[in-house]
Amino acid sequence: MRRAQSILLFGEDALLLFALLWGSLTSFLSAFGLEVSLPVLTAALALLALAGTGLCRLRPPWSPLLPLALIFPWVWGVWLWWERLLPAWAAVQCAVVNAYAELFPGIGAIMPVMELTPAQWTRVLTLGVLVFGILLTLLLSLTALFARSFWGTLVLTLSLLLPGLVITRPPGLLPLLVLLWAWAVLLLTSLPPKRGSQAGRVRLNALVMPAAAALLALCAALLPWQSYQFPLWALNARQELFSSASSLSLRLGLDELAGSLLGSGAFTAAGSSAQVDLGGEALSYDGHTVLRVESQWSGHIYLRGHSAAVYTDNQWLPLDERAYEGLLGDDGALLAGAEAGVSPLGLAAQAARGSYYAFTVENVSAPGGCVYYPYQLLTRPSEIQGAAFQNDSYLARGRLVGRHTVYFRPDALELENRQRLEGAAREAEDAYRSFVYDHYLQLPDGYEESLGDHLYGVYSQNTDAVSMALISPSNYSSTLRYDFMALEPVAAAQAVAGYLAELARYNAAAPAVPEGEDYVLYFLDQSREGYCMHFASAGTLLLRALGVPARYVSGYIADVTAGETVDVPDQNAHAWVEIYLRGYGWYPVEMTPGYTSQHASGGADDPEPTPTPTPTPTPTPSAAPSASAAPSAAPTASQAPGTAGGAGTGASWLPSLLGAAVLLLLFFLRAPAVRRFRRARLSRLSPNRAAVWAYRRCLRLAPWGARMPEAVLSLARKAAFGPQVLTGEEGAQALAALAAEEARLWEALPPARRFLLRWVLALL
Amino acid sequence: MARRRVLYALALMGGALFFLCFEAYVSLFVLALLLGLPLLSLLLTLPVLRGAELTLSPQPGRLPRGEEGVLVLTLRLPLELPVVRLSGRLRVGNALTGERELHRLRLRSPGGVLEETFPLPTGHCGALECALERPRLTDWLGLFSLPLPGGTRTARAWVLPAPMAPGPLPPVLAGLGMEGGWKPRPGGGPGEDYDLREYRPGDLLRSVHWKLSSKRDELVVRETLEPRRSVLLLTADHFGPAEEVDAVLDRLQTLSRLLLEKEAPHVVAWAHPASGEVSTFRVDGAGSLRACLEAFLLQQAPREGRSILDGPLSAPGGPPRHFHITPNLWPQGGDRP
Repeated sequence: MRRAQSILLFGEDALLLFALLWGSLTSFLSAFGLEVSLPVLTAALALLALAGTGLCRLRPPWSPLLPLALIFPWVWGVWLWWERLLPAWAAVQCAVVNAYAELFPGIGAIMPVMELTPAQWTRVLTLGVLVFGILLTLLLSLTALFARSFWGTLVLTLSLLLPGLVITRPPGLLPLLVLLWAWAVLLLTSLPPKRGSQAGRVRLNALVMPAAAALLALCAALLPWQSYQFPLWALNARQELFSSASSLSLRLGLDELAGSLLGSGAFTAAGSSAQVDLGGEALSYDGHTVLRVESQWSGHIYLRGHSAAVYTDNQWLPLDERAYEGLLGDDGALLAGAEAGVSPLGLAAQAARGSYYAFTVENVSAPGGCVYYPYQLLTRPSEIQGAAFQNDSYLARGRLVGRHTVYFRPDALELENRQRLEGAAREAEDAYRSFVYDHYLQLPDGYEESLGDHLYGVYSQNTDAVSMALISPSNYSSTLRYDFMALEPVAAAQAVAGYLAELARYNAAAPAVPEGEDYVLYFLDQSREGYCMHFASAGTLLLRALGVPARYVSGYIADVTAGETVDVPDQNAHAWVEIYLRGYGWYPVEMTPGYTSQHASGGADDPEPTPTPTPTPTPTPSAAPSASAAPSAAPTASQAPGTAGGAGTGASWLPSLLGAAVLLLLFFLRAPAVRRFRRARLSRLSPNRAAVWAYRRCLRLAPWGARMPEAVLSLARKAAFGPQVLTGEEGAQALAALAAEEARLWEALPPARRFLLRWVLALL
Repeated sequence: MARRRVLYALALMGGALFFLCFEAYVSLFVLALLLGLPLLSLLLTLPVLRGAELTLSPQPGRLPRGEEGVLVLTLRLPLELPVVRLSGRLRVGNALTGERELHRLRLRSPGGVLEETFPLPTGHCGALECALERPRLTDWLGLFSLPLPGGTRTARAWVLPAPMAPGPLPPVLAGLGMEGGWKPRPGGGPGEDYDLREYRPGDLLRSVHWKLSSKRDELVVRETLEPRRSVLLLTADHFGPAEEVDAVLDRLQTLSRLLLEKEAPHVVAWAHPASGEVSTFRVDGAGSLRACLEAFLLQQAPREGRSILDGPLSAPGGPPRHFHITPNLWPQGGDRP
C-alpha cells in the first residue's frame, strides 16, 4: 500500500513538473513563433520531468543539494558545447529582437549570419531548448517539488512568459492552459504541510488535478479566445482608471513632489511644466482626459500652462525668482500701478472692451501644478481662489483644488479691437515692459551668430509679410490710431512662422536630439523635422534674435462649445510662443505648421501641414456669444473651487463607486465590530459591573420598547447598593435576562426599526 | 490566512489591471482563473467539511486532583485528506473555581487523522468544562475559513478530590449515630430486641404475645425494637480560596468513604454561597457519593459566601449528629494512603 502511494505521488509530481516545463517553454516558443520538433521536445521534457522528480525524492541532504550541484556541470557543459548551441541562441535572439523591433522603431531587426535549412533550424532550436530545459528542470524541481513554493515557481515560469506579454504577443492556447493548470494545482496543494503522510498528498493531488483541469476546460469552452475582442467597457474603464489615478496624484500634489525629488524629467505626462527638458523622446499619448472645461463661449482655445524664459542646455527654464524683486507683489500683481491690481498675465484683457465669459476648468490629470486657463485672463490676483499667480509665468494651482472658474475676454485677442491702456493699468504696463525687454530677449552666448542664416531667411523669404504689416494701408491707418510698433512683433512672428513652415516638416515621432547637439540648431540646420516643441523653441529664439520679446509656452488646445462640458485629452498638449506687444501685454502666436482649429480636438499626432501657416491663433467666437451670466460692471471673483455647478463637477465615476463601496463596507462592518468589542469588554467585567451594565442597557433600550427584567433590576440593585459581591452565576443570570429581553424586543420590532437598531445604532 | 487573502486581493487587482491593459485573450484567461480558483477551492472543500469528524474527549474523564490528564482533539477528514488549518477557540473552565483558560487553535496536518492533546488544568478540584468554539476549516487556497458542521464541541472532565489517609472519626460521629437508645421498628417484624406493652387497637394479632397474655390475663403485645440511629450530617462551606475548598473536599470524600465503610449512611449538605439555598445529598454508597461530589464540583465557589452554619440545620429523620468539615480536620492528614 505504502509503495503504491509512493509511486502514485511520484507520478503526480512528475506530471506537475512536466506541465510546468512544457507549458512555460512552449509558451515562450509559441509567443515568438519559434519552430521546434514538438514530439521530440515533449518526450524529452517528460523524461526530464521524471528525472527531476526522482532527484527531489532522494533522501536529504541529497535532495536539495544534488539538483543544485548539477547546475555547475550544466554550466560547464554549455560552455563546452557553446559552438553547437550558438545557432539556437541566435534563433531565439533574432526572434525576440525582431519581435521587439516591430513595435519599437528604434530597435533594428537582426538576422542570423549562419545559413541553415528550416529543418536544421528546427533541430538546433529543439536541442537548445532541451539544454535550457535541463536547467529549468533542476530549478523547477527545487521550487515546485522540493520547496512546494508557488511564488518561486511563478517567478521562474513567468520569466519565460513575460517577454512575449510585454509586446502583446500571447502564447498559444494549449501551452497557456497547461501552464495555468500547473499554477492552479500548485496553488491548491501548496498550503498543507509538506512533510508527513504521503496518502494525504496523493489524495489531495488526485482531487485537485482533475478539478483544475475541468475549470480550465470550462474556461476554454466558454471564453471566446478564438474571436476575442477587447471589450469596449474595459477600454473605457481603463481610461477612467488612468484618469482617476492621474487626477488623484495631481490633487495630492504627488507630481510636484516627484518632480522636486526626481527632477523635472521624472514625469513624461503630456502637459505643461515650469522646466522643459527638450532632450527627451517624443511623448506618447493614450487619449485619457486631462482637463474638463466648460464655458459659455464657443471656439478654438489655447489653455495656457507654464511659460519659460531662459533657454540653456537644451532646456527651457523659468526666470530666477530674484529677477522679480520690486516688480510684483506677494499676490503676483504688478506693484507699479497697484490700484489696477493686475498681474502681467492679465494686462492684455484690460486692453479691450466687450463681453467676458466665465471659464471653468477641472484638472482631471493634467500635470504641472498649474491652472490651465484661456487667453486673455480678466480675473485679477485678488479675485482668484484656489490658485495664485506665480510671477509672470503661470497660475499655480492650490493643493487639493482641482476645479477653478476664471473670467476671460476673448475679444482681447483680436488686436483690431484693442484699446489703449489707461490709468493705473498703463502705468503697470510701462513698468512691466521694461522688465520684459530686460529678460525676454536673452539668447545663449553666440546664438545670434548661429541663427544668422535663418534670420536672413526670415527677412528674405517673408518680406511680403513684413512689409504688409509695416506699410499696408489698412494696418497703417490702424497703427496710426494706436501704436505703430505694437503690430511689428506680430508681423515678425508671422514671418518666423512662415519661415519655419517652409524650412521644416512636422513629424510627431521625431527622434531625440543626438548627444552634444543643440536642440534648436539641430532642428533648424540638420533634422528639419519636429513637433510643436521644436517649432515653438526655434520660433522663440528667432523672434528674440529679431528683437521681439518672446517666450516659450506650453499647455493644451481645445475646441469648446458654449454650454457644453468638453473633455480635453492628453494628445491636445501643445507648445507655442508668446510675444510681447507694447501697450498690450503677452500675445500668443502659433509656430507649428498645420495647427489649425480642427486639430484641437482631433489629436495632434499627425497634423496636415497647410500651405500657409496660421500666423496667430485667432479665436472664433460664435456669431452671437451668449454669455449666460449677465456681465456685471466689474467681473466678480472667481467661484470657490468645487462650488460651481456644471457637468464636470464630480470626480469620475470609478473612484466615486469605489468610495461608495468602501463606505458601504465600513457601514456593514461597523455593527459587528461594535458587537464584538462589546462582547470582549463584557467578558472582562466583574459580575457586579456586568449586572449594572445590563441594567443600563435595558434603560437605553427602553425607548425602543424594552422592558426591565426583574432579575436585572434586583441584581443591579444588589450590585450597586448591596454589601456583598455578586457571584459569576448571578452576573451571568443578569446578562441572560438581558439577552432574553433583547431577543423579545427583536421579535417585536418592525423590520425598519430592527435595521436602525442593528446597523445604524449597533444596539442589538 | 490574512496574508493569503491580501496576496489574493493583490493578485486579483493585478489580474484586473492586466486584463485592462493587455488586450489579448491571455489576460481574460488569467482573470477567469483568478476568479474561478476560489470557487473551485470552495467546491472541493465543502464536501470535505460535511464528512469531517471532529471530537473532543478528556482522558481520563475522572481523575484525582494533581494527576495528569489531557484533552484530546481529533479531526478526521474524508479520504484522510490533509488539513490546511483547523482553527477555533478551546475554552477550558473550572466550574468550581471559576478559572478559565483560552487557547486559540491553529492546527495543520499533512494527512491522516489530526490528533492534538492539551494538558488539563488539574491543580484544583472542579468540573472542567471544555468547549471547542467556532471550529473552522480553511479551504485549500487558504482564503476561506469555513465553519465545521455541528458547531461547538463540548466535553467535561472531573477533577476529583485527592485521596488521603483518614484520621480518627470526629467524636460526634464516633458512635455512628447509634447513641439514641431503641425505638419500635415501623411495621414490626421479627427481631431479637423487643419490648412488651399492652395491646392497643390496631395492633396485629400476630404481634400478641399469647403466652404472656394468658399468664397476665390481659393482652400483651411484643413490639420489635431497633436502635434509634441519629442522622449523620456532614456539612461544608462552598466558598473560600481554592486551596481551602480542595482541602475541604479531600476531607469530605475521605470522611464519607470512611463512614460508608462502617456502613453508616449519612447526609452531606452545603449552602449555596450566594443564595444560601441548601443542597442535601443522602450518601449511602459509592454512586451517591460520586453524585454528591459532582454536584458540589459543578457549583462555583466564590472566595466569600454564606455558610450553611448561618441557617438552621435540619436533616430528614430527626435531629442529626452534625459535623462541619473544615480544612482543620485531621490537620496532620492529607497524605496519600
